[in-house]
This record gives sequence, C-alpha cells and structure tokens, in this order.
Amino acid sequence: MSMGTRSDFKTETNLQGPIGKPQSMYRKPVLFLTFSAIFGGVLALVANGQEIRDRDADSDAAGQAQGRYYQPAQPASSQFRLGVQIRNTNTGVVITRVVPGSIAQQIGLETNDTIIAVSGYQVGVVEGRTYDVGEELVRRMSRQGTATLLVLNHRNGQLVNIPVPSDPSPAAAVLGTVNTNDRTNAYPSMTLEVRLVDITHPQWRDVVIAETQTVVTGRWPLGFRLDYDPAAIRPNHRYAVEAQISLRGQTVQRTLAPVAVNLSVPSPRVDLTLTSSSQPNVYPNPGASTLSPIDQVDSWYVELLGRKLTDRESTVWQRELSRGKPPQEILATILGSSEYSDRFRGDQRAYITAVFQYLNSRSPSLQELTRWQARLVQLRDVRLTLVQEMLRESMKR
Amino acid sequence: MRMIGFAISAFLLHSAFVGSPLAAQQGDTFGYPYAPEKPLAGELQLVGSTLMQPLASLWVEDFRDTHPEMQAMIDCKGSESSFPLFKSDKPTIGMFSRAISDDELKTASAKQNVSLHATTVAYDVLAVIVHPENPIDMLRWDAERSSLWSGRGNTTITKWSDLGVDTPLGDASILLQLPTAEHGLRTLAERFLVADLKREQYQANEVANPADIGDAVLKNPNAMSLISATRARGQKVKVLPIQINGSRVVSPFDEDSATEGYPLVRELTLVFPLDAKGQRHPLIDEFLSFVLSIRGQRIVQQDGFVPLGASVLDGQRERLGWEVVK
Repeated sequence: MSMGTRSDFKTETNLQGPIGKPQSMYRKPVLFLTFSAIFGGVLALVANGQEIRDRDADSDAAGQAQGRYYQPAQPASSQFRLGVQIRNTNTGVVITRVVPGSIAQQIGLETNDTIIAVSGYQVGVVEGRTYDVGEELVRRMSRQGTATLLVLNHRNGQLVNIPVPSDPSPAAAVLGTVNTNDRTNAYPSMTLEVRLVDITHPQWRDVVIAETQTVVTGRWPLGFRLDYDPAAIRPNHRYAVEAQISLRGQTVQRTLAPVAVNLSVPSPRVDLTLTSSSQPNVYPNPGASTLSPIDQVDSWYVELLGRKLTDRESTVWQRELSRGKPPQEILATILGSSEYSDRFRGDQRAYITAVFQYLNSRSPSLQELTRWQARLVQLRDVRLTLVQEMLRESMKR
Repeated sequence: MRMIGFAISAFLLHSAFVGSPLAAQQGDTFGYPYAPEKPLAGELQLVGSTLMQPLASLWVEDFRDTHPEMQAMIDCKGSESSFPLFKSDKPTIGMFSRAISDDELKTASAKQNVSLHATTVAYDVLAVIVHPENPIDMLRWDAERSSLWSGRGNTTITKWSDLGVDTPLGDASILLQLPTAEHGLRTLAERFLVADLKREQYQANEVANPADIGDAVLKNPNAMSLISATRARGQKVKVLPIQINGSRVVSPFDEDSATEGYPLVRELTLVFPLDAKGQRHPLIDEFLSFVLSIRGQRIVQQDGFVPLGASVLDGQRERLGWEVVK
C-alpha cells in the first residue's frame, strides 16, 4: 500500500444481520481481532461465533451432499468493481493485481496487500467457505453508498481502514450531456438510457460495453456519467456513445447515430442531441395497436399464455423495448416458447396451425401447413426461428 | 417416502447454497459486458436439454447479431443424449438441465475419449405439482428434522395421509410421474424424490417427454411430480408452495423465490470439449463468453430462468481461465 487514508481500526458495532435479502443469512458481521491473531495467521470470529458455526455446519453439509462448493448469496444490483485481481486465503483476500486507473489504485491499494474485511464483514476463506470481496463491496456500495476496507499493508504489516469513495473520480468514465430538439415531448416518467458501444465492425449494432439508465429529471441539457470497465476496452477498437429516452418501453427520442468517443484520453466528454423517434407501431393484431409496447406484450401473455406478465418479465421486456427491441420479436419469443407450444402436447400440426391463425387471422391452407411443417423439420424443431419466419411473412402481406 | 421426505430434505440442503446465491434480484443481472474481438464464422452445434432449447435459440439469435456469419445447429433430445455427440467433428456444446459433477465429467471424458469440461450458466426453479383436486395445500419442511414434516413426527411417507391429507385420497399411495432416463430432470427426481429407496418401495410411472408430465399428473389424482416452474405456469395442475422452518411459505412463482430461500432449484450447465492441445474451439469460447456476459444472462432472465449471481459468475470465469476483476 503506497498511500490512502490511514485510521485506527474500529470494530463493527452493528451485530444485526445484513439488510434485506438473505445473501448474508449465514453470517453476521464479525468482530476482529487482534494484531496477534492476524500475524499468527488465524482469524477468529468472536461475535456470535456459535451461531455462525451452526449455520455454516448446515451449509457445509449441503456442500458435501452436492460434492461442490457454492458461495453464499448476493444481490447483484450494481456493477461496482474495485479493480483488483485476488486470491482468497484463510487470512483474507490477497491482491494479486491492481487494474491501472481503477478505484483500487486511487485509494492506494497495491499488489500483495490483504483485504481482511469490508465494512466489518470478513472476506476470504472463513472456516472453509469463501466470502467474496466483490459481492461484499457491491452490497455495501449499493445499499449504503459507501464501504470501508480493513487492509493489511504488505509493506509495514500494519492494519488500516480505507474508505472506498462513493463517487470516485472518473478514471474510467465518459462524461457528457444530452440535449433534445423536442423539449415539448417530456414526461416525468421518462427514462434516459446512455450506452457506450463498440462500433469497430459495421454489422455490430448491439455490442454494449456500458450503460446507464436514469429517470429524466431537471432541465435540459441533462448531464450523464457513464462508468465502464477498462478491461472491456480493446486497444484497436472504436467506441461511441448513444442515448435514447423511453416512455413505458417505447422509445420517444434517440440519437440519430452513435457519437464517436476517444477513450484513450483522460475523462472523455461527449455531448449528444436527441431527436423524436418515429418508430412505427405495427403489430400483427391491429386492434391492440393503441396499447403501449409493454401493455401490448402483457396482452399477448394474457391472450397466448393465459396469464399476465410477472413483474420480473415486465422489467426485462421493458428494458429490451427501451433498447429498441421490436415488440414483434417479443411476440415471436412468446409464440416460440415451450410454455406456449406445450399446450399442443407435441402436435406440431396443431401448433403451426394456431401460430399461423394468430399471425394471419385465418387458417393455413393445406399447402401452407405442409410447407411450414417441412420448414420446422429443416430447422430441427427450433420453433423460435420458425415463428420469426412466419411472422416476417405475415407482415409482408 | 422417506423417499419424499429425504428427497425434499436433500433439495433443501442443496438450496442452502444453491437456492440463495442465485443472482439477481428482480430485473437485475450481473456479469461482464460482452466485448468480442471480431465477428466469427463457422458452425456451432448445440445439443442436449429439451428444456434449454428455447433458451439456446434466444442465445443464438442474439449472438448472431454480432457474428452474422456464424451458423448454429440446435438439436435437443434430452440432456443425457449429449455425451456421445461430443465425438462430432463440429464444435459442440452439450446443454444439461442439471449440475454435472467433476467425477461425471471424468467418466464421460474417458468413455468418449475427449476431454470434457462444464460451466454453470443459469438456474431453473422447480415446482412440485399434484392433481388440482388434491386437497394438499403445501409441503412442510422442518429444518431441525431435516425432512418433510408429516405432522406426526418424522415418519416414512408413502401415502397421502402421511402428508396430512384426511380425505379418502389419504389412503392412496403417492404415485410419482418421472421423466425417462435421457432427461436431466430424471436424475434430479431420482436423487431428490426417490432418494435411496429401491424401485419396489415406491410407485412411479415414466413419462417420455417432460413437457407431458403435467398431463400425466392431471390424469391421476394420486400423482405427484417435479417440473420446471416455467413449464408449470399456465397448466391446470396444482403447484405446491413449501413452508420453510414452520413459518414462511414460499412458492416457486414468487418473484424472488430463488433468493427468498425456495429450495427446489437446479443448475443449467453447458458441457464442452477441449481439443488435443487442451484448448476450447474459438466458437465455443466466444459463445461461452457471450452466455456468461450481462447480455447472455439477460436472455436467461427473458426465458424465465434465473441468472447467476456475481460470485458464481466469477467462479465460472475462473474455471474457464478468464480474468476476474473484483
């Protein structure tokens, strides 16, 4: 460790379990310990130790039953990375490499330093189980906006507390603004999505290196900050930034083309301008064309699968719609799904007939039915591709 | 059915690790961005799990947006049908709707004379289903007894009355509807529902296509089975929630069931060969990179499965020899 905030180690006083989800259900914050414990190579759990061991005993039994080790749970609501490669040991997490320009480098971590705990939660191998430093950081940063590392400095053998900044300097981030030429078209529930994309090859339309999504608030132009993973950047590739604004899954404004950005300069900036999107609403069932895209998807679920979208499905499809996925592709996914095709109990003829009827509002002729059956055989029963082809053909008419 | 008692207990023990590390809370996925070097061409063969066929189609469709010259052949006849197909000249990925142990990989590698490796790519929430007229409302789990709770102590469970059914159905034996041997679900059903009982100690029928298990259960009021929760949706069968620790009841359809301690969860696995030099074929390598990226994991979620969590993803990357940055 070459630098960084140095302070006395303070024990964690909150002995309650982690907030919310059960990712730390087997473990409570630990109280450490003494220098002798560290230098003796033994980390002792002194808080609620018995309970910790009891819980772990159950878990270990499971691991043995499966013949495989599984790590404890974690939410993954953040892509936060400290920027280190590590090796888990019984005495903590040994840093084997610090990524240049990373937060780890900014706060002074060095190769061979050992991270003992994150905000009072021990990391590394504890009684045979591994507690992941990345997970613990994600958890603390996403829930508390801050974290403190207890680090053993490899140079002098001293323990130090190092705060991880909640808003680190943008060593790997694109900053910029988004303006619009249509300010009349703004609603409070709109979301702004900004994406860093790889445009090296002309056919690459969706190689997304980083993205950020926020609710549209404040005055134009809107500022943004797009953090990216430096490890995902290739030296000879070209990158650009694009943005769009969506309302209930429908793109209402977008950049006409991605704007090139040079990531080799420090703190690159990009200023974007949105224009209103004239994305047509063309659905196979015209009666539903007045619905918003996500409501349309929901109506397809009800109509075809006999149920409404779950919250999770709704979240996922809204995101896909906002990223420009045509609703028709989602319809094809529904019609090609096992959940839909299972209704026909292996009767391909009945399945194809039903899909054709839905897309064309009429029954297929014998010739059409035979053709699509043969096509499904050609496609080796890959229903999704078949439905996509049927959908494309129906939309040509 | 100590059978079922043991079975569910094993599942729940399993879940102590597998159930809870499941990734994403609602709508979230974790992973690294998919950052390919260049578009690739060639043909990739995807074989195995029928359950995973739609997922494979979605992956391939998206993957081809970046690699339009690449072709994929998806041919699914059940997880267990995969192993002999690795002898193919084409780069082949086997899809298994269950976990694959290292010992199993060693055995299969020796038998097929090819070095096989595996990576976990997603989780599938399973559902215990019964006939809709079955009065049972849920299965109980007693953590202290490490078994299904019959309400009368830890007795062997063979009849519906052992599970608290007090109607005439209670006198009937529980009939398991099991998928045939080529499906990954069969292995799980045997491990978790049949456990160590001998064949003559329990009643079971075989169902050739897992998609037909729901129908098989509908035809017999005594029946019970285990299917993917994604396939249970929209069917007329009754899906049983599970009461954990005598209080909390979790359904496989709960939004965050996997992270809320619901125990019946299985891994979805991709198996792939290494060449004589110990290398993965470039197309296989690229496809695995895609599947384990944020982009691939979002598709997992789109298809109704559960994406991997941060540490599990990192673990898979380490197994594949890729850089992991915390």
